[in-house]
Amino acid sequence: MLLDMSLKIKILLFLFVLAPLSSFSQVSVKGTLLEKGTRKPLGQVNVFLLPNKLKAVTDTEGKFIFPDVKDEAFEIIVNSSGYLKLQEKFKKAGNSLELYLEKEFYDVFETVVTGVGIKKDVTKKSLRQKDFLKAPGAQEDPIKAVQNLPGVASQSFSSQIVIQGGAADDTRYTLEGHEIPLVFHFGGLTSVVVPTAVESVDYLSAGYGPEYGRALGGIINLNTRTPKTDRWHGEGFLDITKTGVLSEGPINDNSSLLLAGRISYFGKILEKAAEEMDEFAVTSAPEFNDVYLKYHNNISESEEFSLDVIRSKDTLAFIIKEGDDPNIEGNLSNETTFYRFISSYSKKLNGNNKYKVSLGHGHDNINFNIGDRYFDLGTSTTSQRFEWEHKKNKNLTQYFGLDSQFRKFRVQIRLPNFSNQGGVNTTGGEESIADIKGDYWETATYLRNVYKYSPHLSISPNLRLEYFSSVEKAYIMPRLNSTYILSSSLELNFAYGRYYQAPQNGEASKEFGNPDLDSEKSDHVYFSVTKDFREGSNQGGSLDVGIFYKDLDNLIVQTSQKKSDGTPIRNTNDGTGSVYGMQIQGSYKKSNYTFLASYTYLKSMRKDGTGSEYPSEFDQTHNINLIGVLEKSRWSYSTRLRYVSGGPYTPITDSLYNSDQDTYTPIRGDFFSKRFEDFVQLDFRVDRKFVYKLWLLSAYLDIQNITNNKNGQGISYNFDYSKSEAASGIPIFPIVGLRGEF
Amino acid sequence: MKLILYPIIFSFIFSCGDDFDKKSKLAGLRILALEADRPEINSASTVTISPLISFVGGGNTTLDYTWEACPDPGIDYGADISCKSSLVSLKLSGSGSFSLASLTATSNTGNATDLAISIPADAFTYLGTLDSKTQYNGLNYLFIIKYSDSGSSAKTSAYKTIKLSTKPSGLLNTNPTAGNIQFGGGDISAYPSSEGSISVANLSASESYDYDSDIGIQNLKEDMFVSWYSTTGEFLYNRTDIGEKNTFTPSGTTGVILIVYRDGRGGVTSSLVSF
Repeated sequence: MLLDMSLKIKILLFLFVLAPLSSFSQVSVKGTLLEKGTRKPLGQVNVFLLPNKLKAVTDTEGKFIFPDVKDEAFEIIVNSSGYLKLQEKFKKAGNSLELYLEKEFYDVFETVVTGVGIKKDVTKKSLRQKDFLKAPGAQEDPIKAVQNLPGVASQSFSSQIVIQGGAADDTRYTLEGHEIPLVFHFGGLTSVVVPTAVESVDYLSAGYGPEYGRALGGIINLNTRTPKTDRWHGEGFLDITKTGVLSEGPINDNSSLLLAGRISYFGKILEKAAEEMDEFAVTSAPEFNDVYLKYHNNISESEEFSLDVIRSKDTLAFIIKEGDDPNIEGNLSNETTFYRFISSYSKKLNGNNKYKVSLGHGHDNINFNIGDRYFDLGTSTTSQRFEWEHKKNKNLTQYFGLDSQFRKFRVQIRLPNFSNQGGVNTTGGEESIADIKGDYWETATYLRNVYKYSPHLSISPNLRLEYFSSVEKAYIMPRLNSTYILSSSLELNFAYGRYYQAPQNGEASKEFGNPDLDSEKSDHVYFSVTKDFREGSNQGGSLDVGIFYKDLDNLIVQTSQKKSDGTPIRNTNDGTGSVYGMQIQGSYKKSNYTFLASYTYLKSMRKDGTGSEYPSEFDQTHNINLIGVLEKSRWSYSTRLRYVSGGPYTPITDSLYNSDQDTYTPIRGDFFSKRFEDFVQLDFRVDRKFVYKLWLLSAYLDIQNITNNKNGQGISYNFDYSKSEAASGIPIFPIVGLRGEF
Repeated sequence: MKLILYPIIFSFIFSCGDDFDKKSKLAGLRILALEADRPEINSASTVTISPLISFVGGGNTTLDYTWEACPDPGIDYGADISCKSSLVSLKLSGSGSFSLASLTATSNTGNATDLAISIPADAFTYLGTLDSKTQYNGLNYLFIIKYSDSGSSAKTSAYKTIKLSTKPSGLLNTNPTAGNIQFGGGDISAYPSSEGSISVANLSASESYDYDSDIGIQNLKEDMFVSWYSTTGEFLYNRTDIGEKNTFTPSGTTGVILIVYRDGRGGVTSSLVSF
């Protein structure tokens, strides 16, 4: 059948003119998929377009495109694991779309789980940022969260972490492996580094490896994180004690920078409130500020450079109007500042060799005044670390390292001599006046061998050699680390180590101590069994059971003996001691619930020379932490129950009036022969996350000691020590905090 | 704000008990000062110690006392405050009793029997064996006294040091001096009827003295302070420095008010008024 001419023309017109025209109504739909709140690009995510039933996959920058879509209303659907489903309708394709996918959970509370497998250091436990930011009772603080781990003593208002019945001075604090003088601001209020700048905290309690030294009790190491490189981020936070900011981002393709700072205002509030309280004899204004900077540069694929800078300042001023205090009257002030520059460079030479070298330098100032008396200590510290990792073969990896620090100091002092035997201060009123300049250094070399004897057994015979110039002696410190994997979920760990710690705080100075002192010594033995019940799942539990023993020798103790010319000996190495115990750590996760339990049993004893044995100051027999967390949508509820056996103290049985000084000198009873009441504290924390397109707001309420237990971990005495009562610990203490980040 | 802050401040800073009596409030048996007529000597001689005691509510009882004296065994470094370990040749001791009857007019508060302590020559021989700093700054010769009341089982003890040094006589420490207690700007003549400013007239000034330290001879100033006591009423401060004002709030119509003025290195004097 033939078509007429006009129809043919119409068909041709359609084919050559209208058909192309109709193809122009097909458009492309493109856009970017980002995480809501953080604006993180989401790559490798399927994006569906309806009704056309088209699918696109986002690239690494979160970009996607549908090239041929009818120019009509459409709907985008994204359903990705870990995120809430996105379903959004659009009237017509237009500009590039910006889609935001909201996470189901932003900060999932996690617990420290000791997984099964061969590790470099079997005793190391690490808390990651996720672990400590939401830990109940820790107020987002990385070091406070360490107190939830087994073996950490309970202390009120302390700036130190005491590990497994050791002494307060037996713990070393390091930042990126370099020693820092303190880890907490005043009274343990908060740690010295902004928490969100910290990647993780390492906690080493017994039998730690050859990289670590100069500590009989344990190590706390802060690892800071690499600044983000995707774009510039900002963060602001405040709670009732402090406020701060953090900013980080890329400088160029290779380098990035993080800068953070905090300032406290708690002291100003206290000061203001105290002005109105005539009935009190004491006012206090604890204040702190800190600044932290991290620069990171990926020089090449095999080279990295980073610089950490930290500066911290604490000031504390007491005005003690002539009160009842039997020993201290007058104006007190204390200022502690320190800074550190820590630069590190690492290079991967080939598949078997890499090294890292780091250099730290800084200055510490401790200034303490009480009336006309003073203590000013300035110390410049230069530290250096180097580690070469060499994979000798598939079974043996060796680490060779150097670890040194050099200190130069000046101390100016005018203070009464005093003794602190059994934890009780006494003084006769005589003064020491001195201005001392000096230096000392400690240098160590170590070798770690990680030898995989079989797929199930690894043995690490290690060695550390160290020289302490303060005692002019070198020490050999053998260490041994071993893991035996019984099954994919069960392993045994063993660690042994010998440790030496040089005299500290002028103990070996000829002016205030005894220059003939030797270093303190300790041998650690640790054995643990780890069972991971999760069998590869992210639900379920794990259990870690360990026993430890520490033999202590050459401990420095005070003495009242004198030399024949009447000069005091002050300190001797006559102290010995031992610590043994058991620690259990378990975690369990089911659905939105997480539980963590840690328990420590220990017995820590000391003996001074020929005297009788007595419990150490931190002989806290039972230490239990139970944590429960429920996470629901944007809410998180957590609670912690802490029970610690009452620690020992030395009773004061009587006193003598010192007529020259108008003070009473206490008479000590048997050392640490009485105990404080048991410590019981229940904490509760609730977190709420508000997710906006471009930023996140987190709010939390952390209530410490919700049952308002008195928890007296100290004794208050009247002016002549004839009356006493338990000093209160932290009362019910709510802290509200806000954090905004983009 | 206070509701939140006060409990925090209470617990963080003021953990001392409010129920404790103030140090300045006299009650029970107490030794308030041991005044040596010469707080520092440079040769073997007799030093007279005047104990200032208070036993409010003690009645007319008789107190027994024992005393001993010897070189300081090392109190600064934790030694027991006693003469047990001292060489016999360097040690002194004695005992006696004192009737409170002579002090009843002043609420059993005032000076007890003076004690004459003959510092042995051996103590100076011993001083000669010590290091040069101790010889110059002085060996602390310790004096310990204990009072007890057999009737009430009350007891108390105190100590002071007498410096044995090699300093020339003109540089030896002496006791400070204090004038009358003043209330409201004038000498106190009656028990105060209302709260007011209280002070001590003519307090001797702080003296300077040389101290042989680890950084050589240091010229230091005495750290003078007044300790306040009363049998009734209450002071704002237990201790004041020279020129620092104190406030007294009376209670009742009678009482004893006294001060002890110290130089911080063994020198002591006192002043007492009774109404």
